Amino acid sequence: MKIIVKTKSEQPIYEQIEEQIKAQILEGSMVEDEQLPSIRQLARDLKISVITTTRVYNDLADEGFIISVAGKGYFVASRKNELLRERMLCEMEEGLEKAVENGRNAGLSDEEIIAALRSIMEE
Amino acid sequence: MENILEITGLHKAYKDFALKDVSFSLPKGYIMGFVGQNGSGKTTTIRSILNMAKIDSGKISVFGLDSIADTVAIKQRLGVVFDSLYLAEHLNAKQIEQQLRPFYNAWDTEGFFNRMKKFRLPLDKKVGEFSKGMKMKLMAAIALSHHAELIILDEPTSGLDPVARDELLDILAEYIEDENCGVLFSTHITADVERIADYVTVLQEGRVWYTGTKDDLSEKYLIVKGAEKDLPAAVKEKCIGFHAYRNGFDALMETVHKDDLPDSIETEKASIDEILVYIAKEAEYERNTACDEV
Amino acid sequence: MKEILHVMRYDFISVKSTAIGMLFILGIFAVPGAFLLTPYFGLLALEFLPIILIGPLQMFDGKYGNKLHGILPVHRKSITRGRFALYTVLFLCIELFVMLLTTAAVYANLNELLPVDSVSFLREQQFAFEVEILPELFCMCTMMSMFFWLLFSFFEMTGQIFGKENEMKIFIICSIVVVGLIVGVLTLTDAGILPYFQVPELPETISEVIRFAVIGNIAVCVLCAVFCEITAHVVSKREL
Repeated sequence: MKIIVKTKSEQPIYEQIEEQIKAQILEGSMVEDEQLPSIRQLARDLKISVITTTRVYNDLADEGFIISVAGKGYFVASRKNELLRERMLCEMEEGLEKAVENGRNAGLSDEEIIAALRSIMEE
Repeated sequence: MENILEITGLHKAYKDFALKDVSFSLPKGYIMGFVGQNGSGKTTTIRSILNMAKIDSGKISVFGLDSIADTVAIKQRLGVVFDSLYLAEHLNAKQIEQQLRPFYNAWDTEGFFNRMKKFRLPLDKKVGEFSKGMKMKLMAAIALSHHAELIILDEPTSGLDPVARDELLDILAEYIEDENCGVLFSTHITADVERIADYVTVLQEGRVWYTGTKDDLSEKYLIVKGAEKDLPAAVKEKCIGFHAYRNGFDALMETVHKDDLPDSIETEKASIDEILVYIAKEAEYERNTACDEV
Repeated sequence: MKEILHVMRYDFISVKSTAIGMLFILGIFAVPGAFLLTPYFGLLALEFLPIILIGPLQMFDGKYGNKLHGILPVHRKSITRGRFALYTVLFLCIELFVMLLTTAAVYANLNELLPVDSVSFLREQQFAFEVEILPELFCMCTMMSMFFWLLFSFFEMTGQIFGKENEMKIFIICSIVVVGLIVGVLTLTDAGILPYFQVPELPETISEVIRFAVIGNIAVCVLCAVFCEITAHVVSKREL
């Protein structure tokens, strides 16, 4: 797990961490059942507030990215996990919507947008 | 949640200054930033906790013990880092260790020397010749070596260089990994608190202006900026530390009023530093109007 | 009780390192002086030791005492009691040390070994190395020790109650009072208003001296304990 905290950023610290963990889970650099550092370890390592890391883990658990095992800690959730899958689909749709919107704003036809998508997928 | 420190209705009057109804509590396992201008009463509050100042009324409990009746028992489990050294300056760390060891039931000699090594503090040098940062680390090492469950820091970072301040944050971050501990961190350099503190208590002229989680504080207030003519009078009333200048104004405002603002007014996140500045301005403004009325 | 011991230890470590150099210098003068010149030289140690040992202690208090006393897990009264107890131990030790030193000097009689011609004035001191002078020596030693013990305890009390910065004023006032009293008593005696004051005779045998020393030291100890309790009572109510 690799996390960078930018204190000067306008974005709240908890959001920065959540995004980075999510990204690492989604791209597979953090794999299923991998144990995350404890709330207090993470706070110590990043020199941030315990409340912040608690919030990060609670949010991630709510969204299905990680699961809390009582007495053991937090683990990366299974990818087959319904919640997570739904979440990933949702993110994909959001991304596609944004892409289509940008494409249309640029005056591309639907075919051209699909072609662009294909070429990206072939890369 | 169990409170490691709890202050209720603390009053303490001096000739020219008074703490009025100071109440706040720190749950076990967290760091509280204790901020406010110089002279806002931070040190007096800390002196009251340590029973160095005799309180007029109110109750302070540390580890559930009474700050006056059980002061000795409390101090067994309490570590303090002051802004200046409280030790005989002509002694070296070895001698200091000998002096302090018998006082604490839980004193850990080996741990003390390990920390001295880890903090890169010399054992044979007179502690009076230590730099400010080294003195601070020495006091922290002492607090950690008797396994203090609560560490109180009174302006430890004033006059400290950024590297030493960062080292202190490292020490605290490591310390609070143990969820049975707590830290009360008084400072006017709020950047230190901004990152690591879980809770914040803001003192203003002897009163508690805010106490709660740091996240709530930063969500509760924001800074508004823009042209004064665009600001509805009803919102202006609610501004804190309103400051007008030739081309516009800036002020602190509770986030709940954000919806009443027209689009032409910009808002941004308020840092604790900025909040302190605005509440000081507001107090100044109130004093001036009070004078005018007289 | 344990607290008091810890405080004494704390104070002792504080003075130890500053005192060691001075003690060495004192040793250079007092010990050879006592052995070669006259055993009375040993009494010099009595005059300087308390200043060397206790002077710095009172200075430290002013500098960082408050914060330290706010942090240490001890009762405020124990801090005061520890200080006075340390004085007691120090003065008793110094007294004993000087007695041993002078006794050793008298019995060693090293003065005799000095060459006759080169330092003849030293040889002239030989009368001082006779066993008969021991009671007088012990007696002076005890009295000096008691005097300094009382003096330092008294100034510890006044210093703590009225503030170290007023120490000089207190010293001057006390000196005036004492001198005034002595002058007053003398004039009143001369004028026949007060009866003539008979100075009690000094003890002459060793056993008498020891009795005198024991009773005297106990009396001073009690007096200092009173000073101590007054100080502890006043100071413990104060803010730090």
